[in-house]
Amino acid sequence: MYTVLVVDDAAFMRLAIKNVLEKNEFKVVADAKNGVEAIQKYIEFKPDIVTMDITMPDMSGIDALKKIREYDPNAKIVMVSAMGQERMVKEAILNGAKNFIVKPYKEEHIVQTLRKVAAEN
Amino acid sequence: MAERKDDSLLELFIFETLQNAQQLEKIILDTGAGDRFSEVAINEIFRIMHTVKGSAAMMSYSHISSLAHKIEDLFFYIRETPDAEYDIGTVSDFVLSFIDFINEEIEVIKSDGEQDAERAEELGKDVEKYLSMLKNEGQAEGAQAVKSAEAAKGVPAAAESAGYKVTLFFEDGCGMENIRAYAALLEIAEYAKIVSFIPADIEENDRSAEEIRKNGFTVYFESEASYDELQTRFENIPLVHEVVLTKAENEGVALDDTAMPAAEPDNRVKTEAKDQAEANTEIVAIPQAAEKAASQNGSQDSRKTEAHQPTQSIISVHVSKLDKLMNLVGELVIAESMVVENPDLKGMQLPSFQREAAQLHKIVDEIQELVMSMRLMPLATVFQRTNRIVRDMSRKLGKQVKLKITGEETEVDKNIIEHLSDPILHLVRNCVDHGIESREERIAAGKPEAGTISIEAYSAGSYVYIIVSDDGRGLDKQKILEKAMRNGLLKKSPESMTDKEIYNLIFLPGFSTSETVTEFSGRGVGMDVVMQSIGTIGGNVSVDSTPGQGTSIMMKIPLTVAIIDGMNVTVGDRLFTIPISNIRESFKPDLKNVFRDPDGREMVMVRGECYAIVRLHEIWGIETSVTELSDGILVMVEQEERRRCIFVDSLIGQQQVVVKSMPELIKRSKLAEGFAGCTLLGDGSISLIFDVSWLVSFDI
Repeated sequence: MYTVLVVDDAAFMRLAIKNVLEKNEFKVVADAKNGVEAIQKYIEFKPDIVTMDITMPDMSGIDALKKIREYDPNAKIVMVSAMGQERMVKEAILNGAKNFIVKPYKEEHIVQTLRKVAAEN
Repeated sequence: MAERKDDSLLELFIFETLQNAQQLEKIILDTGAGDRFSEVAINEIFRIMHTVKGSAAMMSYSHISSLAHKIEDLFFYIRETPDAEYDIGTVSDFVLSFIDFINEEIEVIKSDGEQDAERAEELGKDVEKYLSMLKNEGQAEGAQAVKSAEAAKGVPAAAESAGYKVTLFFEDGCGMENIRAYAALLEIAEYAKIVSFIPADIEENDRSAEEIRKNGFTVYFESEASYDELQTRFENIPLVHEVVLTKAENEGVALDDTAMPAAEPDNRVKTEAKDQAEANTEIVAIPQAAEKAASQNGSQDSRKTEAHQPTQSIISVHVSKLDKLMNLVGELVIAESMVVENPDLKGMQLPSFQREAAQLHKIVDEIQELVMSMRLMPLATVFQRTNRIVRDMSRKLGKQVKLKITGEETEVDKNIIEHLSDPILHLVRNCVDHGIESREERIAAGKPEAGTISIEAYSAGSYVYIIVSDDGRGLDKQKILEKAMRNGLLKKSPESMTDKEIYNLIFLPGFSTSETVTEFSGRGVGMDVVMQSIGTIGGNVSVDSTPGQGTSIMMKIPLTVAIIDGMNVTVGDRLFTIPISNIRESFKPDLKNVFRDPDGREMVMVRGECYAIVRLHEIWGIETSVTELSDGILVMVEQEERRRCIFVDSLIGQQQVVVKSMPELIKRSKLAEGFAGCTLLGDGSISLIFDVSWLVSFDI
């Protein structure tokens, strides 16, 4: 069982991701609706994996990614992006994001991605 | 090593690499005077370097690939560091030296000679030194991007590492395949040295995602890791649906798909793995979703086959084949008329035969036109090379020269292009070296600082005109005369010569106006060589010059030399052919318009203009019953605005004829004077083709 922090400004997305993950071997231990919250929750819960939306108010997913990686260089963060955000995804990867999924995603894609990222050491 | 490689691969490698070098040169030269490369240029150079590096590595020409790699690094830095303070001249010089190096190495490779690894290393060191200097100057921030990029480039490979090729197919609908590929690349770079990858533009072109969806993402890399280890690593990349990993032993078997399409094995499926093991290639496809693969096996195989055969709309054909085809078409044209105009058919009523014959004629005509067009090449190939000469020379000589090229899309026969290259380059060299004045001189003369050389080409009728001109000091009549006198080339007294005649002296063998021999021109060969080259392809050269304003040299070149439209005429029992393009009109002369000029030459007046009459039977002593102008016919021919009327017995008809050159023996004697060649007519008889430029200019 892996613990997950789901970060997204849309409650609908947070729930959708949570539903998919909890049908599998993941436990969503916390969620956050912006980057600032994400950092606090990460420090508090130390999840195995973070799913991170890119565009969020207050602090973007990329800034949050940078901060979290600063705090924990081994943090496993998977970006959740929409089509057309290629540049930002690239930037995220250069800044240590483990991988990414593109909305709209297939359930098995997000599960497979998180599974493989979680298995990495 | 080269001899062990497949010849067709090598040929393709050479072909592509030279093409890339040429394109590289074009980009550099197009960049011209600015102080920075455009973004497009940088990306393009980067991409080309990348391709060259990849294919050279595959062919084991490590010195080429490592040099390309270093220049690629340099351009990477330039690209990622927008405020990098590089000197465009220095960087251009690096690239141009690289191009020279490639051109020379390719020659070496062709002749199986010794490769010049030392020079590559030297140049490589210079590039590296320059790059590190740039980096030191750049700010720390800029360096960061480079660092992360260098991670993508990978760690240096140890001596023991082996070459691999992997193609990754991502899950359907996973999105942003190019970024996925980029992420995968960064990961691979952690444990392998990346040589190249396809598509190469994943970073800058989001449309490459489409290509990856179709053909997968292919990476060539070197790694010490074992095959199984690598396979596992690839399978563990998220959303990778299939991994096709191939190990290439030193043979360079795995090749760049797009670069070497012809060499690509058609079937890259697992069933073939065993068969191909002897070719030192291990090919395994391991679909991750086994059940999916089982049900889709057939479709996947075909998809992959497709993937490895990129559609190509251009193929290259050996010139010798085209030459042969051209010859055969020539024969076909003759055979056609031999059949259709067969004497056995004379006087017969053959309506359906005639109809079919017309159809045959139409098809033959079309084939002929097509074959001719296949042989046509744009002059751009020649013109482009002048860019380099102008750039190099003006830098060395400290002159500012602009090159203006127009009409480079004009097409001429390949045979003719080959003869044009040297003369044009020579003329351009002359322009820069002798024509354009030094900066001080130009300023003093009130001209713009930078000189202009223009090359212009256009086609008119069956000729192509190429004009090379400069706005320099112009030809010095006095100097030309002195020189001609000194070399004993003067045939007339200088006072009686027109300007044009004086200028034309420069075309005489043994004449060279340059007092000093420079690196670029004046190596003892002069304008006579230009004249000769152009002459061999049936063209001619003329010069015009205005002191202080420049010189222009015009070359007139036939479009093609192989098949012409001709008018067949008889004189006595002889047959002659006049090129239709030279015929103005033909007419029965009215005797009251015929008279003799003060020198006793026979003239005819047509619409108020007088033309000399050429009696062919008198020139060549042909016996004919037609000696009275009223019995025969006059054909007015024209060449370069000079016209004369040729007196012939009768016109036979118009026909396309294949021009064959005269037998060597005849060509060498005076007998061939006045003829451009000969041809075989439909009935098997031989007809001589007039050289109209001679007809209109010889002394009557």
